[in-house]
Amino acid sequence: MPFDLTKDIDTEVMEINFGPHHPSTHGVFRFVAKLDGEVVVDIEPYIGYLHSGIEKIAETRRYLQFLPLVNRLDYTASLTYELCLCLALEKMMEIEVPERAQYIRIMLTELQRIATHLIFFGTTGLEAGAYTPFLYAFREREVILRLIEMTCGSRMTTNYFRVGGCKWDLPGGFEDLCRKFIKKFPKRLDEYDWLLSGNEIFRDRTIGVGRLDADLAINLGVSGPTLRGSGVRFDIRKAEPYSGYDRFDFDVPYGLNGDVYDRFMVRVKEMRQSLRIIEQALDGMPGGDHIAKVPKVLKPPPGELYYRNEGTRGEIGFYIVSDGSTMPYRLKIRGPSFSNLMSLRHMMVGHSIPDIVLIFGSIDICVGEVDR
Amino acid sequence: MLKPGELYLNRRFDRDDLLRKIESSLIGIDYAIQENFGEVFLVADKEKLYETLSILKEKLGFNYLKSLTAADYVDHLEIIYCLYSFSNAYSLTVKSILDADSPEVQSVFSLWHGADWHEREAFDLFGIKFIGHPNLKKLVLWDGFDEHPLRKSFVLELSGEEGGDS
Repeated sequence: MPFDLTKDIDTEVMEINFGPHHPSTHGVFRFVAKLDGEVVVDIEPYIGYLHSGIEKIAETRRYLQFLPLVNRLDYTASLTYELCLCLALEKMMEIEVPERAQYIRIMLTELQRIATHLIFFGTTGLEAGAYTPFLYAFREREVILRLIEMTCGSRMTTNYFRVGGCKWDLPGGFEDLCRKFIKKFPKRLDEYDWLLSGNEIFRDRTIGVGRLDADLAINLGVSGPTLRGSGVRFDIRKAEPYSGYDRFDFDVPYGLNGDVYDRFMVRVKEMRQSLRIIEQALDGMPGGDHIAKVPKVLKPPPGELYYRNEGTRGEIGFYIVSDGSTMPYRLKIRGPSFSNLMSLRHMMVGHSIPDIVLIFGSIDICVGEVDR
Repeated sequence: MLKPGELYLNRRFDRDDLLRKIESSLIGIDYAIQENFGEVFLVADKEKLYETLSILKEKLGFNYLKSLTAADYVDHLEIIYCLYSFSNAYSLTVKSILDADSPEVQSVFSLWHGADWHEREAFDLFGIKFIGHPNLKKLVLWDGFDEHPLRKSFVLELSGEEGGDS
Protein backbone atom coordinates (compact mmCIF):
# COMPACT_ATOMS: atom_id res chain seq x y z
CA MET A 1 0.00 0.00 0.00
CA PRO A 2 1.48 3.37 -0.96
CA PHE A 3 2.03 5.78 1.90
CA ASP A 4 -0.61 8.49 2.02
CA LEU A 5 1.19 11.78 2.49
CA THR A 6 -1.96 13.82 2.88
CA LYS A 7 -2.76 12.25 6.22
CA ASP A 8 -0.98 13.06 9.48
CA ILE A 9 1.23 10.35 10.85
CA ASP A 10 -0.15 9.01 14.11
CA THR A 11 2.29 9.24 16.98
CA GLU A 12 1.86 7.96 20.47
CA VAL A 13 3.71 7.85 23.76
CA MET A 14 6.05 4.88 23.91
CA GLU A 15 7.14 3.11 27.06
CA ILE A 16 10.66 1.88 27.39
CA ASN A 17 11.98 -0.28 30.21
CA PHE A 18 15.41 0.16 31.78
CA GLY A 19 16.76 -2.54 34.01
CA PRO A 20 16.62 -4.26 36.46
CA HIS A 21 19.78 -5.55 34.82
CA HIS A 22 21.12 -2.75 32.75
CA PRO A 23 24.73 -1.61 32.88
CA SER A 24 23.68 1.99 33.41
CA THR A 25 21.50 1.31 36.44
CA HIS A 26 24.40 0.44 38.79
CA GLY A 27 22.78 -2.60 40.28
CA VAL A 28 19.28 -3.97 40.18
CA PHE A 29 17.14 -0.90 39.73
CA ARG A 30 14.39 -0.58 37.17
CA PHE A 31 12.53 2.32 35.70
CA VAL A 32 10.01 2.69 32.94
CA ALA A 33 10.38 5.80 30.82
CA LYS A 34 7.51 7.19 28.80
CA LEU A 35 8.82 8.71 25.62
CA ASP A 36 7.39 11.13 23.15
CA GLY A 37 9.71 10.54 20.24
CA GLU A 38 13.06 10.71 21.96
CA VAL A 39 12.02 13.00 24.79
CA VAL A 40 11.12 11.65 28.22
CA VAL A 41 7.72 12.79 29.43
CA ASP A 42 7.48 10.71 32.58
CA ILE A 43 9.31 7.99 34.43
CA GLU A 44 8.22 5.42 36.97
CA PRO A 45 10.95 3.87 39.12
CA TYR A 46 10.62 0.41 40.63
CA ILE A 47 12.80 -0.67 43.51
CA GLY A 48 12.96 -3.64 45.82
CA TYR A 49 14.92 -6.15 43.78
CA LEU A 50 17.63 -6.13 46.41
CA HIS A 51 15.35 -5.87 49.44
CA SER A 52 16.89 -7.90 52.22
CA GLY A 53 14.66 -7.05 55.16
CA ILE A 54 17.69 -5.83 57.07
CA GLU A 55 15.58 -3.70 59.42
CA LYS A 56 13.65 -6.79 60.46
CA ILE A 57 16.79 -8.84 60.92
CA ALA A 58 18.14 -6.05 63.15
CA GLU A 59 15.33 -6.70 65.63
CA THR A 60 16.55 -10.26 66.12
CA ARG A 61 20.26 -9.55 66.44
CA ARG A 62 22.38 -8.04 69.16
CA TYR A 63 23.92 -4.69 68.34
CA LEU A 64 27.36 -6.16 67.79
CA GLN A 65 25.96 -8.99 65.68
CA PHE A 66 24.17 -6.47 63.54
CA LEU A 67 27.27 -4.39 62.89
CA PRO A 68 28.61 -6.59 60.02
CA LEU A 69 25.23 -6.39 58.31
CA VAL A 70 25.28 -2.62 57.85
CA ASN A 71 28.32 -3.17 55.64
CA ARG A 72 26.01 -4.70 53.08
CA LEU A 73 23.95 -1.55 52.72
CA ASP A 74 26.39 0.57 50.83
CA TYR A 75 28.97 -2.01 49.92
CA THR A 76 31.29 0.53 48.34
CA ALA A 77 31.39 2.77 51.42
CA SER A 78 30.71 0.39 54.27
CA LEU A 79 32.69 2.33 56.87
CA THR A 80 30.39 5.34 56.72
CA TYR A 81 27.46 3.19 57.82
CA GLU A 82 29.49 1.52 60.54
CA LEU A 83 30.58 4.92 61.79
CA CYS A 84 27.02 6.21 61.94
CA LEU A 85 25.71 3.21 63.85
CA CYS A 86 28.65 3.26 66.27
CA LEU A 87 28.25 6.98 66.89
CA ALA A 88 24.53 6.58 67.49
CA LEU A 89 25.11 3.81 70.02
CA GLU A 90 27.93 5.76 71.65
CA LYS A 91 25.63 8.72 72.04
CA MET A 92 22.95 6.54 73.61
CA MET A 93 25.37 4.83 75.98
CA GLU A 94 27.47 7.95 76.63
CA ILE A 95 30.75 6.34 75.63
CA GLU A 96 33.78 8.55 75.17
CA VAL A 97 35.85 7.51 72.15
CA PRO A 98 39.65 7.83 72.44
CA GLU A 99 41.15 10.50 70.24
CA ARG A 100 43.29 8.04 68.33
CA ALA A 101 40.25 6.00 67.40
CA GLN A 102 38.50 9.13 66.16
CA TYR A 103 41.44 9.97 63.93
CA ILE A 104 41.65 6.44 62.54
CA ARG A 105 37.92 6.47 61.87
CA ILE A 106 38.02 9.77 60.04
CA MET A 107 41.05 8.78 58.02
CA LEU A 108 39.55 5.51 56.84
CA THR A 109 36.13 6.92 56.03
CA GLU A 110 37.76 9.66 54.00
CA LEU A 111 39.87 7.09 52.16
CA GLN A 112 36.71 5.23 51.36
CA ARG A 113 35.00 8.44 50.29
CA ILE A 114 37.72 8.89 47.70
CA ALA A 115 37.34 5.26 46.58
CA THR A 116 33.58 5.68 46.16
CA HIS A 117 33.93 8.94 44.28
CA LEU A 118 36.47 7.25 42.03
CA ILE A 119 33.86 4.66 41.06
CA PHE A 120 31.50 7.53 40.35
CA PHE A 121 34.12 9.31 38.28
CA GLY A 122 34.82 6.20 36.25
CA THR A 123 31.23 5.20 35.64
CA THR A 124 30.22 8.74 34.67
CA GLY A 125 32.87 8.53 32.01
CA LEU A 126 31.41 5.23 30.86
CA GLU A 127 27.95 6.73 30.66
CA ALA A 128 29.23 9.57 28.55
CA GLY A 129 30.95 7.08 26.27
CA ALA A 130 34.52 7.44 27.56
CA TYR A 131 36.04 4.17 28.63
CA THR A 132 39.55 5.32 29.57
CA PRO A 133 38.74 7.31 32.76
CA PHE A 134 37.19 4.18 34.22
CA LEU A 135 40.48 2.30 33.99
CA TYR A 136 42.42 5.22 35.44
CA ALA A 137 40.01 5.57 38.34
CA PHE A 138 40.15 1.90 39.21
CA ARG A 139 43.93 1.97 39.23
CA GLU A 140 43.87 4.49 42.09
CA ARG A 141 40.97 2.81 43.79
CA GLU A 142 43.00 -0.37 43.98
CA VAL A 143 45.65 1.40 46.08
CA ILE A 144 42.99 2.60 48.51
CA LEU A 145 41.37 -0.81 48.71
CA ARG A 146 44.75 -2.31 49.57
CA LEU A 147 45.18 0.21 52.36
CA ILE A 148 41.72 -0.66 53.65
CA GLU A 149 42.37 -4.37 53.36
CA MET A 150 45.60 -3.94 55.25
CA THR A 151 43.76 -2.24 58.12
CA CYS A 152 40.39 -3.97 58.20
CA GLY A 153 41.27 -7.35 56.70
CA SER A 154 38.74 -6.98 53.94
CA ARG A 155 38.39 -4.84 50.86
CA MET A 156 34.69 -4.09 50.79
CA THR A 157 32.77 -5.43 53.78
CA THR A 158 35.13 -4.03 56.34
CA ASN A 159 33.50 -4.63 59.74
CA TYR A 160 36.24 -2.62 61.44
CA PHE A 161 34.65 0.00 63.67
CA ARG A 162 33.38 -1.02 67.07
CA VAL A 163 31.28 0.80 69.59
CA GLY A 164 33.91 2.78 71.49
CA GLY A 165 36.63 2.74 68.85
CA CYS A 166 38.12 0.43 66.26
CA LYS A 167 38.67 -3.30 66.24
CA TRP A 168 42.46 -3.01 66.27
CA ASP A 169 45.13 -0.41 65.78
CA LEU A 170 46.58 0.63 62.43
CA PRO A 171 48.99 -1.98 61.06
CA GLY A 172 52.70 -1.29 60.71
CA GLY A 173 53.66 0.19 57.37
CA PHE A 174 50.27 1.80 56.87
CA GLU A 175 51.56 5.32 57.29
CA ASP A 176 54.28 4.98 54.67
CA LEU A 177 51.96 3.52 52.05
CA CYS A 178 49.28 6.08 52.82
CA ARG A 179 51.73 8.97 52.54
CA LYS A 180 52.94 7.61 49.21
CA PHE A 181 49.36 7.62 48.00
CA ILE A 182 48.74 11.16 49.25
CA LYS A 183 51.81 12.34 47.40
CA LYS A 184 50.87 10.69 44.14
CA PHE A 185 47.13 11.26 44.07
CA PRO A 186 46.91 15.05 43.41
CA LYS A 187 48.84 14.55 40.17
CA ARG A 188 46.43 11.82 39.20
CA LEU A 189 43.51 14.15 39.92
CA ASP A 190 45.02 16.69 37.54
CA GLU A 191 45.16 13.90 34.99
CA TYR A 192 41.48 13.24 35.53
CA ASP A 193 40.69 16.86 34.81
CA TRP A 194 42.50 16.49 31.52
CA LEU A 195 40.67 13.28 30.75
CA LEU A 196 37.10 14.13 31.63
CA SER A 197 36.29 17.21 33.69
CA GLY A 198 37.89 19.56 31.21
CA ASN A 199 36.94 17.59 28.14
CA GLU A 200 34.89 19.69 25.80
CA ILE A 201 32.63 16.90 24.61
CA PHE A 202 31.93 15.85 28.18
CA ARG A 203 31.15 19.42 29.22
CA ASP A 204 28.79 19.80 26.28
CA ARG A 205 27.01 16.64 27.26
CA THR A 206 26.59 17.55 30.92
CA ILE A 207 26.30 21.32 31.40
CA GLY A 208 22.67 22.36 31.70
CA VAL A 209 21.44 18.78 31.69
CA GLY A 210 19.28 17.42 34.50
CA ARG A 211 18.79 20.61 36.49
CA LEU A 212 17.57 20.35 40.05
CA ASP A 213 16.36 23.45 41.83
CA ALA A 214 17.64 23.99 45.40
CA ASP A 215 14.20 24.44 47.00
CA LEU A 216 12.83 21.38 45.25
CA ALA A 217 15.91 19.38 46.27
CA ILE A 218 15.36 20.25 49.93
CA ASN A 219 11.66 19.50 49.67
CA LEU A 220 12.49 16.09 48.22
CA GLY A 221 14.92 15.28 51.00
CA VAL A 222 17.92 15.19 48.69
CA SER A 223 21.27 15.33 50.47
CA GLY A 224 25.00 15.03 49.96
CA PRO A 225 26.83 15.97 46.76
CA THR A 226 23.53 15.93 44.87
CA LEU A 227 22.21 18.71 47.13
CA ARG A 228 25.48 20.61 47.12
CA GLY A 229 25.48 20.56 43.32
CA SER A 230 22.27 22.61 43.53
CA GLY A 231 23.96 25.34 45.56
CA VAL A 232 22.98 24.30 49.07
CA ARG A 233 26.38 24.11 50.69
CA PHE A 234 25.29 21.78 53.44
CA ASP A 235 27.63 19.13 54.73
CA ILE A 236 26.90 17.47 58.06
CA ARG A 237 30.62 17.23 58.71
CA LYS A 238 30.62 21.04 58.88
CA ALA A 239 27.06 21.80 59.94
CA GLU A 240 26.88 19.35 62.83
CA PRO A 241 30.46 18.19 63.34
CA TYR A 242 30.72 14.66 64.69
CA SER A 243 33.60 12.39 65.60
CA GLY A 244 36.00 15.33 65.77
CA TYR A 245 35.55 16.63 62.22
CA ASP A 246 35.65 20.18 63.59
CA ARG A 247 39.39 19.72 64.22
CA PHE A 248 40.11 19.37 60.53
CA ASP A 249 40.51 22.07 57.97
CA PHE A 250 38.69 21.34 54.75
CA ASP A 251 36.39 22.99 52.30
CA VAL A 252 32.92 22.07 51.08
CA PRO A 253 32.73 22.21 47.27
CA TYR A 254 29.44 23.18 45.68
CA GLY A 255 27.89 23.98 42.34
CA LEU A 256 25.38 26.66 41.44
CA ASN A 257 23.50 25.32 38.44
CA GLY A 258 22.41 21.99 39.84
CA ASP A 259 23.13 20.16 36.60
CA VAL A 260 24.96 16.91 35.93
CA TYR A 261 28.27 18.72 35.53
CA ASP A 262 27.97 20.46 38.90
CA ARG A 263 27.17 17.25 40.70
CA PHE A 264 30.11 15.62 38.96
CA MET A 265 32.49 18.42 39.85
CA VAL A 266 31.37 18.49 43.48
CA ARG A 267 32.51 14.89 43.82
CA VAL A 268 35.76 15.41 41.95
CA LYS A 269 36.59 18.40 44.16
CA GLU A 270 35.58 16.50 47.27
CA MET A 271 38.31 13.98 46.59
CA ARG A 272 40.93 16.73 47.04
CA GLN A 273 39.30 17.84 50.29
CA SER A 274 39.23 14.27 51.60
CA LEU A 275 42.89 14.04 50.79
CA ARG A 276 43.54 17.13 52.91
CA ILE A 277 41.68 15.54 55.82
CA ILE A 278 43.65 12.31 55.50
CA GLU A 279 46.94 14.21 55.46
CA GLN A 280 45.99 16.20 58.56
CA ALA A 281 44.90 13.02 60.31
CA LEU A 282 48.20 11.33 59.52
CA ASP A 283 50.22 14.34 60.69
CA GLY A 284 48.30 14.78 63.89
CA MET A 285 47.68 11.13 64.73
CA PRO A 286 47.66 11.02 68.52
CA GLY A 287 48.86 8.07 70.56
CA GLY A 288 46.82 6.12 73.04
CA ASP A 289 44.17 3.47 72.91
CA HIS A 290 42.29 2.49 69.80
CA ILE A 291 39.18 1.49 71.75
CA ALA A 292 37.49 2.64 74.91
CA LYS A 293 36.46 0.36 77.74
CA VAL A 294 33.06 -0.86 76.65
CA PRO A 295 30.85 -3.50 78.28
CA LYS A 296 30.91 -6.85 76.45
CA VAL A 297 27.16 -6.85 76.00
CA LEU A 298 25.76 -3.60 74.69
CA LYS A 299 22.58 -2.48 76.41
CA PRO A 300 21.62 1.07 75.44
CA PRO A 301 19.18 2.67 77.89
CA PRO A 302 15.52 2.77 76.81
CA GLY A 303 14.68 5.61 74.48
CA GLU A 304 14.89 6.54 70.87
CA LEU A 305 17.24 8.55 68.75
CA TYR A 306 17.74 9.69 65.19
CA TYR A 307 21.41 10.06 64.42
CA ARG A 308 22.88 11.16 61.13
CA ASN A 309 26.20 11.70 59.52
CA GLU A 310 27.58 12.53 56.12
CA GLY A 311 28.03 9.46 53.98
CA THR A 312 29.60 9.54 50.58
CA ARG A 313 26.22 9.90 48.89
CA GLY A 314 24.45 12.04 51.45
CA GLU A 315 22.80 11.88 54.82
CA ILE A 316 23.01 8.49 56.47
CA GLY A 317 20.61 8.16 59.34
CA PHE A 318 19.80 5.56 61.95
CA TYR A 319 16.60 5.74 63.94
CA ILE A 320 17.06 3.40 66.87
CA VAL A 321 14.32 2.52 69.33
CA SER A 322 15.84 0.80 72.34
CA ASP A 323 13.79 -0.94 75.01
CA GLY A 324 16.84 -1.41 77.21
CA SER A 325 17.55 -4.94 76.01
CA THR A 326 20.47 -6.28 74.02
CA MET A 327 18.64 -6.05 70.72
CA PRO A 328 17.10 -2.99 69.07
CA TYR A 329 13.32 -2.83 69.31
CA ARG A 330 13.13 -1.04 66.00
CA LEU A 331 15.89 0.14 63.76
CA LYS A 332 15.27 2.29 60.73
CA ILE A 333 17.98 3.04 58.23
CA ARG A 334 17.78 6.15 56.13
CA GLY A 335 19.80 5.56 53.01
CA PRO A 336 20.76 8.74 51.17
CA SER A 337 20.27 7.15 47.75
CA PHE A 338 16.68 6.28 48.66
CA SER A 339 15.72 9.93 49.05
CA ASN A 340 17.99 11.14 46.26
CA LEU A 341 16.29 8.80 43.80
CA MET A 342 13.00 10.60 44.27
CA SER A 343 14.49 13.56 42.41
CA LEU A 344 14.97 11.40 39.33
CA ARG A 345 11.66 12.26 37.69
CA HIS A 346 12.14 16.00 38.18
CA MET A 347 15.57 15.85 36.58
CA MET A 348 14.79 13.57 33.69
CA VAL A 349 11.57 14.91 32.22
CA GLY A 350 12.29 16.84 29.07
CA HIS A 351 15.58 15.17 28.27
CA SER A 352 16.46 12.59 25.65
CA ILE A 353 17.47 8.96 26.21
CA PRO A 354 21.27 9.41 26.10
CA ASP A 355 20.94 12.17 28.69
CA ILE A 356 18.84 10.22 31.14
CA VAL A 357 21.64 7.71 31.51
CA LEU A 358 23.97 10.53 32.49
CA ILE A 359 21.39 12.07 34.82
CA PHE A 360 20.81 8.77 36.53
CA GLY A 361 24.54 8.30 36.94
CA SER A 362 24.94 11.77 38.42
CA ILE A 363 22.92 10.89 41.53
CA ASP A 364 25.39 8.07 42.19
CA ILE A 365 23.13 5.55 43.88
CA CYS A 366 23.96 2.32 45.59
CA VAL A 367 21.04 -0.08 45.33
CA GLY A 368 22.00 -1.84 48.56
CA GLU A 369 20.97 1.18 50.61
CA VAL A 370 17.94 1.99 48.47
CA ASP A 371 16.25 -1.36 48.99
CA ARG A 372 17.70 -2.35 52.35
CA MET B 1 17.91 29.88 54.46
CA LEU B 2 21.38 30.84 53.38
CA LYS B 3 22.13 32.10 49.90
CA PRO B 4 23.38 29.58 47.35
CA GLY B 5 27.01 28.84 47.98
CA GLU B 6 27.04 29.97 51.62
CA LEU B 7 28.40 27.40 53.99
CA TYR B 8 26.24 25.94 56.72
CA LEU B 9 28.72 25.99 59.58
CA ASN B 10 28.42 24.65 63.15
CA ARG B 11 24.68 24.89 63.36
CA ARG B 12 23.45 24.44 66.87
CA PHE B 13 20.07 25.52 68.08
CA ASP B 14 18.79 26.60 71.43
CA ARG B 15 16.45 23.96 72.81
CA ASP B 16 14.44 26.44 74.89
CA ASP B 17 14.07 28.72 71.90
CA LEU B 18 12.61 25.86 69.87
CA LEU B 19 10.20 24.95 72.68
CA ARG B 20 9.10 28.58 72.99
CA LYS B 21 8.48 28.81 69.25
CA ILE B 22 6.50 25.57 69.31
CA GLU B 23 4.40 26.85 72.18
CA SER B 24 3.59 30.12 70.45
CA SER B 25 2.76 28.48 67.10
CA LEU B 26 0.75 25.45 68.14
CA ILE B 27 -2.12 27.28 69.77
CA GLY B 28 -5.21 25.22 70.45
CA ILE B 29 -3.50 21.95 69.56
CA ASP B 30 -2.73 19.30 72.16
CA TYR B 31 0.79 18.00 72.18
CA ALA B 32 3.39 16.69 74.55
CA ILE B 33 7.14 17.27 74.56
CA GLN B 34 9.52 14.42 75.31
CA GLU B 35 13.25 14.27 75.46
CA ASN B 36 15.55 11.40 74.61
CA PHE B 37 19.34 11.64 74.70
CA GLY B 38 19.15 15.40 74.41
CA GLU B 39 16.89 15.42 71.35
CA VAL B 40 13.43 16.98 71.33
CA PHE B 41 10.39 14.86 70.50
CA LEU B 42 6.87 16.12 69.99
CA VAL B 43 3.94 13.76 70.41
CA ALA B 44 0.92 15.01 68.51
CA ASP B 45 -2.65 13.87 68.40
CA LYS B 46 -3.45 11.78 65.33
CA GLU B 47 -6.48 13.85 64.34
CA LYS B 48 -4.47 17.07 64.40
CA LEU B 49 -1.23 15.57 63.07
CA TYR B 50 -1.40 17.04 59.59
CA GLU B 51 -2.31 20.44 60.96
CA THR B 52 0.55 20.27 63.45
CA LEU B 53 3.05 19.31 60.78
CA SER B 54 1.93 22.00 58.37
CA ILE B 55 2.18 24.66 61.09
CA LEU B 56 5.64 23.40 61.95
CA LYS B 57 6.63 23.63 58.31
CA GLU B 58 5.14 27.06 57.64
CA LYS B 59 5.93 28.84 60.91
CA LEU B 60 9.09 27.16 62.14
CA GLY B 61 10.69 26.53 58.78
CA PHE B 62 10.90 22.75 58.94
CA ASN B 63 11.46 22.39 55.21
CA TYR B 64 13.39 19.13 55.23
CA LEU B 65 12.02 15.69 56.05
CA LYS B 66 14.98 13.64 57.20
CA SER B 67 13.10 10.43 57.64
CA LEU B 68 9.62 9.05 58.01
CA THR B 69 9.05 5.72 59.63
CA ALA B 70 6.87 3.79 62.03
CA ALA B 71 7.28 1.42 64.94
CA ASP B 72 4.99 -1.37 66.06
CA TYR B 73 4.18 -1.57 69.77
CA VAL B 74 1.70 -4.45 69.30
CA ASP B 75 -1.30 -2.63 70.83
CA HIS B 76 -0.62 0.52 68.86
CA LEU B 77 1.59 1.84 66.11
CA GLU B 78 3.69 4.96 66.19
CA ILE B 79 4.39 7.07 63.17
CA ILE B 80 7.61 9.03 63.31
CA TYR B 81 8.62 12.11 61.34
CA CYS B 82 12.19 13.39 61.68
CA LEU B 83 12.27 17.03 60.67
CA TYR B 84 15.05 19.50 60.09
CA SER B 85 15.00 23.17 59.34
CA PHE B 86 17.58 24.58 56.98
CA SER B 87 16.66 28.15 57.89
CA ASN B 88 17.23 27.98 61.65
CA ALA B 89 18.90 24.60 62.22
CA TYR B 90 16.08 23.22 64.37
CA SER B 91 15.80 19.47 64.62
CA LEU B 92 12.63 17.82 65.84
CA THR B 93 11.03 14.41 65.82
CA VAL B 94 7.26 14.33 65.66
CA LYS B 95 5.43 11.21 66.71
CA SER B 96 1.83 10.15 66.77
CA ILE B 97 -0.02 7.09 67.91
CA LEU B 98 -2.01 5.09 65.38
CA ASP B 99 -4.54 2.35 65.77
CA ALA B 100 -2.98 -1.11 65.38
CA ASP B 101 -5.89 -2.78 63.55
CA SER B 102 -6.48 -0.30 60.78
CA PRO B 103 -3.74 2.32 60.87
CA GLU B 104 -4.61 5.38 58.85
CA VAL B 105 -3.05 8.78 58.68
CA GLN B 106 -3.14 11.82 56.45
CA SER B 107 -0.34 11.82 53.89
CA VAL B 108 2.24 14.60 54.15
CA PHE B 109 3.17 14.37 50.47
CA SER B 110 1.76 17.84 49.89
CA LEU B 111 4.11 19.28 52.55
CA TRP B 112 7.26 17.37 51.65
CA HIS B 113 7.42 15.62 48.28
CA GLY B 114 10.22 13.56 49.77
CA ALA B 115 7.62 11.73 51.87
CA ASP B 116 6.49 9.89 48.74
CA TRP B 117 8.59 6.75 48.96
CA HIS B 118 8.90 6.83 52.73
CA GLU B 119 5.11 6.60 52.98
CA ARG B 120 4.92 3.90 50.35
CA GLU B 121 7.52 1.95 52.26
CA ALA B 122 5.60 2.28 55.53
CA PHE B 123 2.44 1.25 53.66
CA ASP B 124 4.25 -1.79 52.37
CA LEU B 125 6.08 -2.88 55.51
CA PHE B 126 3.62 -1.74 58.23
CA GLY B 127 0.32 -1.61 56.38
CA ILE B 128 -0.32 2.03 57.27
CA LYS B 129 -2.77 3.68 54.92
CA PHE B 130 -1.80 7.21 53.95
CA ILE B 131 -4.91 9.14 53.00
CA GLY B 132 -4.34 11.51 50.12
CA HIS B 133 -1.11 9.96 48.85
CA PRO B 134 -1.13 10.29 45.05
CA ASN B 135 0.38 6.90 44.28
CA LEU B 136 0.07 4.59 47.28
CA LYS B 137 1.45 1.32 45.94
CA LYS B 138 3.75 -1.30 47.38
CA LEU B 139 7.35 -0.20 47.16
CA VAL B 140 9.86 -2.88 48.04
CA LEU B 141 7.90 -6.12 48.29
CA TRP B 142 6.29 -7.92 45.41
CA ASP B 143 2.65 -7.63 44.40
CA GLY B 144 0.55 -10.36 45.91
CA PHE B 145 2.53 -10.52 49.15
CA ASP B 146 -0.02 -9.13 51.56
CA GLU B 147 1.79 -9.38 54.89
CA HIS B 148 3.57 -6.56 56.63
CA PRO B 149 7.00 -7.80 57.72
CA LEU B 150 7.93 -5.02 60.10
CA ARG B 151 4.89 -5.70 62.27
CA LYS B 152 5.79 -7.62 65.40
CA SER B 153 3.17 -10.24 64.50
CA PHE B 154 5.31 -11.24 61.53
CA VAL B 155 7.85 -13.63 62.98
CA LEU B 156 11.09 -14.11 61.14
CA GLU B 157 12.23 -17.67 60.60
CA LEU B 158 15.90 -17.59 61.37
CA SER B 159 18.41 -20.07 60.14
CA GLY B 160 21.06 -19.12 62.67
CA GLU B 161 20.97 -18.95 66.42
CA GLU B 162 18.74 -16.14 67.55
CA GLY B 163 20.58 -13.47 69.47
CA GLY B 164 23.31 -15.92 70.34
CA ASP B 165 26.74 -15.04 71.61
CA SER B 166 29.43 -14.09 69.23
